[in-house]
Amino acid sequence: MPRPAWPGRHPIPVGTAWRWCLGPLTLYADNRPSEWRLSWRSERDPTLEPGELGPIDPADIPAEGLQAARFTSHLDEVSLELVPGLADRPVVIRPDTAFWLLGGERVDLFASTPVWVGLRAGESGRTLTDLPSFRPSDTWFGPNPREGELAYSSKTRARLDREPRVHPFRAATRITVVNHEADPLRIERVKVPVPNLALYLDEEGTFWTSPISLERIEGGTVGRLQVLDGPPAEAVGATLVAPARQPWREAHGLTRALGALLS
Amino acid sequence: MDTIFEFLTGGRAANLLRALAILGFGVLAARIAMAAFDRWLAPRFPNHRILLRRAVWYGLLFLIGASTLRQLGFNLSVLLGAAGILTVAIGFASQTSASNLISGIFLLTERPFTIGDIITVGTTTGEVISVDLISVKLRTPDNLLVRVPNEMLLKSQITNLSHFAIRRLDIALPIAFDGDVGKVKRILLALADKNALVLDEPAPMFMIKGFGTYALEVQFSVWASRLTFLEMRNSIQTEIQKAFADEGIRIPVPRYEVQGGAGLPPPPAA
Repeated sequence: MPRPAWPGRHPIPVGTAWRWCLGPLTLYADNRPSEWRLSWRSERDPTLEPGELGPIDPADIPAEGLQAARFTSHLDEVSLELVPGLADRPVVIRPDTAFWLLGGERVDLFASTPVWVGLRAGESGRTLTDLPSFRPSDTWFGPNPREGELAYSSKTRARLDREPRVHPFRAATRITVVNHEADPLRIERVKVPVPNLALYLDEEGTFWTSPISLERIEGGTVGRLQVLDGPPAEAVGATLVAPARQPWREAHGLTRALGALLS
Repeated sequence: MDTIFEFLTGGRAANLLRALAILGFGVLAARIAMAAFDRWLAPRFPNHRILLRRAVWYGLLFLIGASTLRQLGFNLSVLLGAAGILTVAIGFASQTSASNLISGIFLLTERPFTIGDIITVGTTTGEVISVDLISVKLRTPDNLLVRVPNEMLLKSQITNLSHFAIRRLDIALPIAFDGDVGKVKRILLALADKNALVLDEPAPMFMIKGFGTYALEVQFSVWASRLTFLEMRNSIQTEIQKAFADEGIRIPVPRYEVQGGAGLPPPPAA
């Protein structure tokens, strides 16, 4: 798979427009005097493949069926930069079927989450907005409706082997689960702290996040979550494309009730 | 002339000046103290800041006023005696206000809601915009200001709609007795799965409540973040209506069968 063409700066002189077909997200940018007019349509099918990108006649931007936003500036900027990123909330991964990790064992799970598209104006790189390439469903991660955290739910299924092909607008995450106790550990759902992960692009054009590891310790009721530095070993020749939205505070995430990390 | 001289030398002028100084410096000091108190209050009691600030401010004003009067030569014991009688009179006259005040203090400690919460009291639903000494002000969705006395709040059932991060929507659906319940369930669960605002967990729930008078009573419950609750409520019900129309699922309406007995006159011809 070639490296994607959409990340980076695109020349859009005043009075012209561009269109990007970013899988489930179709994005239009219309550069008007002192104003960027962005419009987009999000499909509910996460498997849609990316299409063409390039300049279009501003008159060809559909007048209906799009969400729109206007951004004004005293500068007439002539380029727009698209920056890949990750979700703004944790993502809950649910395997096809809950499974048990036997005592003393470790397993690598592979899951993927949607890529976010950041829009930055001109040479200054000022942020216009962030859009999900696919808006995942909301979900609640907690022991009951009173305690917990709002998260996204990933329709991708956690695999025990690397996905043969990750969708171009999803980022793969390697999750290592280690059971240090003797009794089996049931894994039904895993919360991936996506806002704390960096995003990488490997030489095959696949997006990867920082890998994470979850360890069950101290009698089985406590979990240790770690965000590992750098790309996973599976991401050959990977380069950093976006740092984490929020820095990983190891002191806070190091040990938690196991139920706050997986269930 | 003699009177003025006597006034100036008799010590009354000095007392008056002292009283004015107490009043002036007292109010100034009270203002400075209030500013510091407010800074201390803001992070600790953001929701009851106004109430506490007013209580302390009026207390300080009372002390300054009493000191000023004392300096002017008023006998405060007589004044307090009179004030006692006055208090009893005022007490009788302001039972409601006192009750509201005390109720406000109880609410202050119980904290069933905070400023910005959406609550329902009786038949009124609105956003809490202030918690005051004797009442709470609500802004209703149609932008009306509703003043609810604290006493009423203490006695009534209050529903806080924004206390928890997620909320459940219960949709009551009558299904025809000859309808395909399994198909209805599949459609509803698929719609919930497709709607990004419906939470995956807690999972949507399909429940047959029983046989109604004219239809099978079904409840479909879905959860959403309270921030997107209204949007989800509109979108999911619009999608259900459209899906039922597309799939030919009829939502029954009450039907009444009227039979004429023998001897009744025939219905008039159309």
